[in-house]
Amino acid sequence: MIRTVRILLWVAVAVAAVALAALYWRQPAVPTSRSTPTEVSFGGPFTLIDSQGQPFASARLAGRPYAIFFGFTHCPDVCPTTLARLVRLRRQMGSDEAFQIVFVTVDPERDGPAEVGRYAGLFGAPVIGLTGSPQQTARVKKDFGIFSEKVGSGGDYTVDHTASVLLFDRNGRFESTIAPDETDPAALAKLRRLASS
Amino acid sequence: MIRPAMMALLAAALAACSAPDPKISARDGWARETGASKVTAAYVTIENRGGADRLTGVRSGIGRAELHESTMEDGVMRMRPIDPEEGLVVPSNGKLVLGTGGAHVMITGLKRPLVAGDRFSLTLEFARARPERAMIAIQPAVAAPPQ
Repeated sequence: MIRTVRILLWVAVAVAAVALAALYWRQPAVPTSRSTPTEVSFGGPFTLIDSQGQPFASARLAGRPYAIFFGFTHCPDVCPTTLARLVRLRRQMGSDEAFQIVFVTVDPERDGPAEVGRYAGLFGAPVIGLTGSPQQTARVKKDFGIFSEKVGSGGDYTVDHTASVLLFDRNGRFESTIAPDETDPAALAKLRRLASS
Repeated sequence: MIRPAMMALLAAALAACSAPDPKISARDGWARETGASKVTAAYVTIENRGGADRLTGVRSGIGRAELHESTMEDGVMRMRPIDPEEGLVVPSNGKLVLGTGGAHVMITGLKRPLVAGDRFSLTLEFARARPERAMIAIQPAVAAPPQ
């Protein structure tokens, strides 16, 4: 009787030891998994629709940094101003290979593949124009921290939207943003850093 | 005692009435080529070598023109029409710049696509000055705003 109790106690000690060891070995993983949520991060894998009407997976952007801007083709002022500036700054960097420029419409109701394609093609340099279903668009907006809101009714409505450009490195990691009121030299410095990261 | 005060008021009122006439001219008008889009923005600098005035409206044969303003609030760009009753101030001996990311001319329902190298005219309407015609030169989409 005493012997069985003793064996059982030893078994309990062994179980406790294994449990402690397991806890000990798992510990190094904790700090790294804890540190990620405190960093501000945007992005994530997405699938949208390109100007040919074909699915466009974000994996296609991998290997080269990219600057992504959310707007709409009926936007006469801020959107073309922003895209034109990105194209000009990329020219100053000497190569269209320096980074990719991605334009995503927040107005998929009016902007189909043909509309985003024509709009992206206006700037005389490679710009990737993307649209999507309302669900796809909503998801990407959420992942990228983009706000947009339709204002007005009828065919002539406008859309309020986040005006910053988001920059992602060649591994698809969020790096920084460019706001519309930043000067060209400040924006260029960020893009150079992006291209060399 | 009351009389001098009245006289001063009268003088002030007369001075306001006879404020120097505005002397308006427009320069550096430009817009981007549009491709297939029926919407565009036009930009122009309005100079005034006279008394203060207000820009109250815009007209163009090329589409429906309105004064709009882009404003940034918490990182979000908003665009709203400017109330024609208020208009935009053209300061005396100063200028009003309609440029990117601020007050600009919004043109909807374009009758033809805007092609780089082409131009169109825009009529600027004021509270005091006579309407002024501005030439808008169409630039490639990638063009930088004039410095």
